[in-house]
Amino acid sequence: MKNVYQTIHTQQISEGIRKTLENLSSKVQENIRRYPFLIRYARELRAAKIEINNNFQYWIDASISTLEKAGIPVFLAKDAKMARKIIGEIIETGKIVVKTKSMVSEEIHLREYLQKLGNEVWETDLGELIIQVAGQRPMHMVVPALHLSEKDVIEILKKIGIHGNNAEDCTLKVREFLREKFIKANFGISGCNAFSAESGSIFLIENEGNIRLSTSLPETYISIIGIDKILPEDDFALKSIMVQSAFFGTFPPSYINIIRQRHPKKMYVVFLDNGRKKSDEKLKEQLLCVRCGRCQLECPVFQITGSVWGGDTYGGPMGMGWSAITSSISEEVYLSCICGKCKEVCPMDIDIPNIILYLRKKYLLC
Amino acid sequence: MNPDELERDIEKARKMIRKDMKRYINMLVESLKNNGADVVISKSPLNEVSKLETLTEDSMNEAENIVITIADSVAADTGVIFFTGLDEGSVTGLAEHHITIVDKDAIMPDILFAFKLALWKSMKKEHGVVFASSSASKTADIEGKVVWGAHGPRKFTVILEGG
Ligand code: SF4
Repeated sequence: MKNVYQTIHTQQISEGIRKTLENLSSKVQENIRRYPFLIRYARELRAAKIEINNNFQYWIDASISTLEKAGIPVFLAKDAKMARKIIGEIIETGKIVVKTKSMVSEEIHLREYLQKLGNEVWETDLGELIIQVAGQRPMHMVVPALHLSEKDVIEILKKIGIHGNNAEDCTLKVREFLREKFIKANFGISGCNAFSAESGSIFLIENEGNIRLSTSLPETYISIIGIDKILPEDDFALKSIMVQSAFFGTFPPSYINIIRQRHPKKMYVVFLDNGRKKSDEKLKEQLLCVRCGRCQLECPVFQITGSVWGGDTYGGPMGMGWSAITSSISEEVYLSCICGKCKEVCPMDIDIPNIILYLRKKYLLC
Repeated sequence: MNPDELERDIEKARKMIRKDMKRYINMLVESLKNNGADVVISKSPLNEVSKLETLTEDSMNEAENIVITIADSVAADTGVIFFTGLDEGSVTGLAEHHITIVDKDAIMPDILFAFKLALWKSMKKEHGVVFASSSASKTADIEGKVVWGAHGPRKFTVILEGG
């Protein structure tokens, strides 16, 4: 908890979160007003995800079978170590790898692992690249560098030879810098926002265009998919990415990428379990999450601590449940004020306060 | 979903559009503008393309490139435009200016139908890639300041067949 207490005095974090919330809050309201069907989609999605949660093995098998029929090499990793090993054996060493921002890859610490194997690995989302170069952890799932000022970013980017004068200049220079990496890359790696068991399609949303380049340019592409991202069919996967982007605040996203095959180029799919399948009834509710990041920005505790409050990878209110599923229960469950704001704003109607109260009891028993 | 089922759904959507074409076109134009795309409505889209090419070449440096595509489908309610093809994905992702022509047959009422039309078209090809754009590339990762052209096109122009 020491880190959390130190963070409380770091005004830059609360300032960054306040600004992001101000920017996005009205946009979420506007999205719901303009596209009222999003509420219905979220309800339908919740029902579909409950069905998947209750029959994980069936849907994992169905997904693997669809991909195998399409001739795509597919793996199921039971934990982070196994996922790293599978991907490490595909990539080996001495390669250039372009990565898109992905919470599952953070969860398995993939970038660090591939670098240790002797590969050149680049995060290609601007915020995530800044975090990589700074050697920090993302402060928010969708806006990883929200705690850094323009001045900080100018200084951080100098470490990789980028000398920008302001936000726009830095962004355009990063574009130039990464262009060369995209073109030379041997491998592209992404997570997955939603997966359709029916067609074997990977659905990805973004605004920058780095996912499009990472998934289409390299000769080989690897997608890592948390088994919670499996949905029965394409319609649900589309609805999921719509709900995710609208409740974050950017709708429609600038780009949607849907990958079923990559002929004549190669692709691999790695499904990641890492504690999801064996979650108990209470924690399974967290698996309904579409990772819009809304509960984080709206949470009064997160607003002063950012992702420092939470587990290794997942921070804020949703991070309590996710950390318990994928690694362990954090003592920091006691720092929640159980105000219920997270439940109120969650499009998937996840009872996060109830999950946190349950984790407190479990923590004591442990 | 098999191609026959898709075709049935697409035909259903086309009937809806035909009945109320004007309303759907208006809805589409509003959505596209709301997303920040430049919209040109023209009876002859190809003429518009050559005008735009000349204009863009005059105002941009020689190394920068323009890509012109024909949209596979578009959702009237959100302005999301679908395309198909792996190479098409990288070419449009690398361009400075993406100009796309949308003909009336490509208009669908919403994203779910627009995806179905694009998917149906992609089934005839081997690559299995469907992608969509709704605006130029952007980021707000540094202090929330919006910058266009983060990795993909700085400009996105839609030429809509109409008149
Ligand atoms: S718990 Fe709900 S609000 Fe929080 S990230 Fe997940 S879906 Fe979004």
